[in-house]
Amino acid sequence: MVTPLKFVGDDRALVEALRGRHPGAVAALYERHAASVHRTLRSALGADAELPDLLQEVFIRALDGIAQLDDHERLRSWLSSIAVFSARALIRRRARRRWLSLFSPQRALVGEQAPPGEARFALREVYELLDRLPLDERMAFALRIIDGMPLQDAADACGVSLATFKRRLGRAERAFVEAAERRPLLLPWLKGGTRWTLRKQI
Amino acid sequence: MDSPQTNLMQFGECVQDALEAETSPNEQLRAARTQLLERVTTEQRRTPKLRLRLALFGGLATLATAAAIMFTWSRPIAFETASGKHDAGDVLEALQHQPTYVHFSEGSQLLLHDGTRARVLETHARGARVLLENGAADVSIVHRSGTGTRWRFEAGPFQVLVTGTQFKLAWHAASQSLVLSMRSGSVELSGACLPAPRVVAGRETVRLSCAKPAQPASETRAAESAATATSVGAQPAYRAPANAVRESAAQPRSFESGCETASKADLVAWANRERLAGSVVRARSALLTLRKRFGGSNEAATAAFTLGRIAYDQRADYAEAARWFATYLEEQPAGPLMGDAAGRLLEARARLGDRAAARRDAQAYLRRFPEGPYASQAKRILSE
Repeated sequence: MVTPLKFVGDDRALVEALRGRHPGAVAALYERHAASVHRTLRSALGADAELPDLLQEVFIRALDGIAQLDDHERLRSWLSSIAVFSARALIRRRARRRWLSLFSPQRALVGEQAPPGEARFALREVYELLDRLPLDERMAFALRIIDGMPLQDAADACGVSLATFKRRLGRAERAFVEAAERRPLLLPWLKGGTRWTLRKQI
Repeated sequence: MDSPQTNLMQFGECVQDALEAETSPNEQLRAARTQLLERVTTEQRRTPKLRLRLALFGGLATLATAAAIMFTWSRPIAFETASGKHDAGDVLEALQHQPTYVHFSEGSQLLLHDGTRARVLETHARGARVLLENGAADVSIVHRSGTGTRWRFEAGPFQVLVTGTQFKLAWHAASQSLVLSMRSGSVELSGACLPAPRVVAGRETVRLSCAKPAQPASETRAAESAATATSVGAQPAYRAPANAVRESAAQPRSFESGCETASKADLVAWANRERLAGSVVRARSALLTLRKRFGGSNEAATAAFTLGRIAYDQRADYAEAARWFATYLEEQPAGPLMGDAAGRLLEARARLGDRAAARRDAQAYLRRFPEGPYASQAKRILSE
């Protein structure tokens, strides 16, 4: 077990400390941003057994690339963009593996020992439908609808303009809703008390 | 009233809540933190020697991957429902107002509608064989590239061969009618009363029944006599007529007399064929003759179980069904169908309204099969 020295300071100081290899800076970075990165990864991938490994990978990439971060105020969105990049890379790797039929198309769900329930199957259905979307559209849907990111932050995390992001999101929503309406297990989530319709892009 | 945007964002929140419940985030965050800090602390630059070792390791990993592919391709697929994993032969039943999803490990899935009853009879690396006993199921089969796909659905006298496709299959046992509605892909439909297999594709819907409209008694007798006269005479086995018909009360003597002289194996085969073709009277006749002539054999005990199934599924005679299931359990207390017989016995007694007996059966069932396919029904009976 490693117990690093405690780091104190704002994000600017934190970035400097990371560049200077301060012994407590990594733990501080993790404690400030891990929950948000975890949420982004989880939204993109679902209840996936590889989430902890991927979370670790995001921070390793961040530490390797900290010298390239030009604006400390962008630390959070920069980490989100690394999370999006890592999630996309994992999805692509899996697509290649699936082609080889090495792994089942069913994702490795966390908590296989736990009693399965309808919500678990509904979750699985959501991510089965997302698996069918083009990757750019899938990420747009995951960040905006599931993660709940503001549009501009989600566009930044994907590294595209706001207009491009909105177009992707619109396509993703239409495709997702069309497919989800045929899945009875998703109806309780889809019908939030009123008829399920596409939202307008605002 | 909520706006559409609120609905969509509410959907996202539902997903997020389910993810939160499913992933134990705090535990994952702690685990990743420890690993990250240990890794950062002990990180060393890779030396050329280490790279060589990694290359060798990579080669070995490739070989292991190839072996894993071979293993995966040859491994039978598994399946589960919300109540957990199941084995081939288990009864899968969707209760009223509670559709049941059956998920297969290679990605295919079935949605059993209210009151539908089915069994996955066997699984293999490329698919499975599923018996739809009664009701309707939405079927979505994933095509596996490289290995091929081979799924087969049986419903009464019909078989549906699938490669990779989506469709809805409904089988109404009482009326012996089948409805197949394609959504995508194609299947091959065959059956005892179809002259030849038929390809169904696109968004086609097919409605079929092996049961013929009632004919004048003399005509029916003549037709059946003719059919059976040729087939029973031609040994070794009686063959069901090409168009299996709903039997009239009067059965041709030739079938009865054929049963009196047929072998044990022939009687089993005839009974199954007639049962699947919807000829309940003939199936019962063959099974009863089997029990009379070969009493004490394993086949005779299995015949008791099948007679129970016929009584329950095709005649809705629950009292007779209960008698036959109890007979099987007496004759084969440790037989291969014992679990099913015990489950169906409690089901039949519950249908009869014999609450005391059903409770006894339910307790006995749960003692032996606490996680069995009828466990939920048994618990429900005990909780009433």
